[in-house]
Amino acid sequence: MAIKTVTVLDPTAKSQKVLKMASRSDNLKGKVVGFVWNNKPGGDILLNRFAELLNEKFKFARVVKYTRPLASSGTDVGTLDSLSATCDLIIIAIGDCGSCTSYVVYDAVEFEKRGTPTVSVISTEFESLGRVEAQALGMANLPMVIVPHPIGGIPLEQVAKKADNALEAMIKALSGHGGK
Amino acid sequence: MNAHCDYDLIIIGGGPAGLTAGLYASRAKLSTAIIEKSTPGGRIANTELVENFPGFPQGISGSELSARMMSQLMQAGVAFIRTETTGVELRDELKYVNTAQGDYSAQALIIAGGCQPRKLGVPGEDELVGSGVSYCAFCDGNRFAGQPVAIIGGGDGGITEGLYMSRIASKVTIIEILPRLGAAKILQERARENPRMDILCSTKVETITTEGNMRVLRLKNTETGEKSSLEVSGIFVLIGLVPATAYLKGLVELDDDGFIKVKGNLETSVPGIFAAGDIRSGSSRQAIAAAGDGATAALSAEKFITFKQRL
Repeated sequence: MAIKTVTVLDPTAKSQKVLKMASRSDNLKGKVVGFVWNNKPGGDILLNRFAELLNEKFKFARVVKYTRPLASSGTDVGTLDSLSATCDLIIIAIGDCGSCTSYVVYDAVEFEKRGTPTVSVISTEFESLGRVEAQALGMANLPMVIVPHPIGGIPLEQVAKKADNALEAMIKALSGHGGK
Repeated sequence: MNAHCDYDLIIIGGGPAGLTAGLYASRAKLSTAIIEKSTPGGRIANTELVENFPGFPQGISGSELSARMMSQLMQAGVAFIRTETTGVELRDELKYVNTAQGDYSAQALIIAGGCQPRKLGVPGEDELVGSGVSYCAFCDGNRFAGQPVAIIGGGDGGITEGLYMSRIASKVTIIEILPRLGAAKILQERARENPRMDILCSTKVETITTEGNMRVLRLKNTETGEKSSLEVSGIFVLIGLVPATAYLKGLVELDDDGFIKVKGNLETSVPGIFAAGDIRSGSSRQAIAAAGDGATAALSAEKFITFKQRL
């Protein structure tokens, strides 16, 4: 009797990918830290304040600042590669609209895939979108610091104050712990 | 699932049509992937408040609605591929989607890639994109806090974003080429009652130039021929949409405006390729209608795949 081969296939949808994030260090002292601004108003104020406060506390070896030309597109591959090679940590701001949140998260995932730990700064209005996008891209636990919306169109000192208030959350997100 | 292709169904576009199609496909146990080049939720993710999607009596922010749709999709196990689609090919009875990350194959395809903002097409527009000219007030409006802006277009999009800008800008001028606004009456009422908003109908924009820090719109009244100018800091162009179908020319039948022609079950001129949402001919271009299209297209795709597998 001839033996008939039957192929059994799994009819369910393929499971979603889960990507590994870059490993974090407790020690933030002496690091080279990148600050990526997506050109959205207020994001630069937030990042400059974070840079000032963190540098004072941890005495970074170097602060690298990069401004993306457009909020509604991602950082180009060459810049992703070069920033990732240069920096020990990268902070990206600001996700305070649909498209810009999407591209902040996209950039963060790309840096993490290259081995550089990141923190994405997202405003409260766009936290849900940012988190679900991180999950969709395979990094559900992507570190984010959430600041009160809005960031643009308010006095600069109010923006800076939001960075002051989020400093501890930023240190925790950068180190994965309390930061030393 | 076909052993020789990556997925049963690929959906191009992650707006309300694509996300709903993905949800229905996963419930039909089809292995499904959504390919989206940008933001989950599509254009609706950049809408401040959605007031006409049933189930949300107080309205819901576009980003929150997008996040909820996307979250439901993630729970359903649909794969999400973030990359740009550059083409579609038919080979060996399968559909191949060409992307920046390589090709993906499927038995059936739903095209739900939506539309892009229509450009004004006047001198000065292209040169000032990103530095005074924008197509999304919710994205770029804060750049012009406390300054005067112009919104070109008096449809739903123009008035909605004009109302948003009226809370940020010092003054908002709506410029509509037709003799009257095309927006829903409730939006028109809000705009007319808003002390920070001016409305100019029968007015055509002829050029955009820069003078110092200001952008200058040269205007012409289409009824009287009278010319005038308007100085503003920011200009938002919201005059409709064009379908993102350039890569489909020669593959599926398009109408004169480039939208995809479909049958009643949303199948295109190519068996096994369906179209849903704003990108299809005859769409009302509403989020709720796009979601309905997504459901219909997914059910039709399931029937196509099931029938094909029985052959």
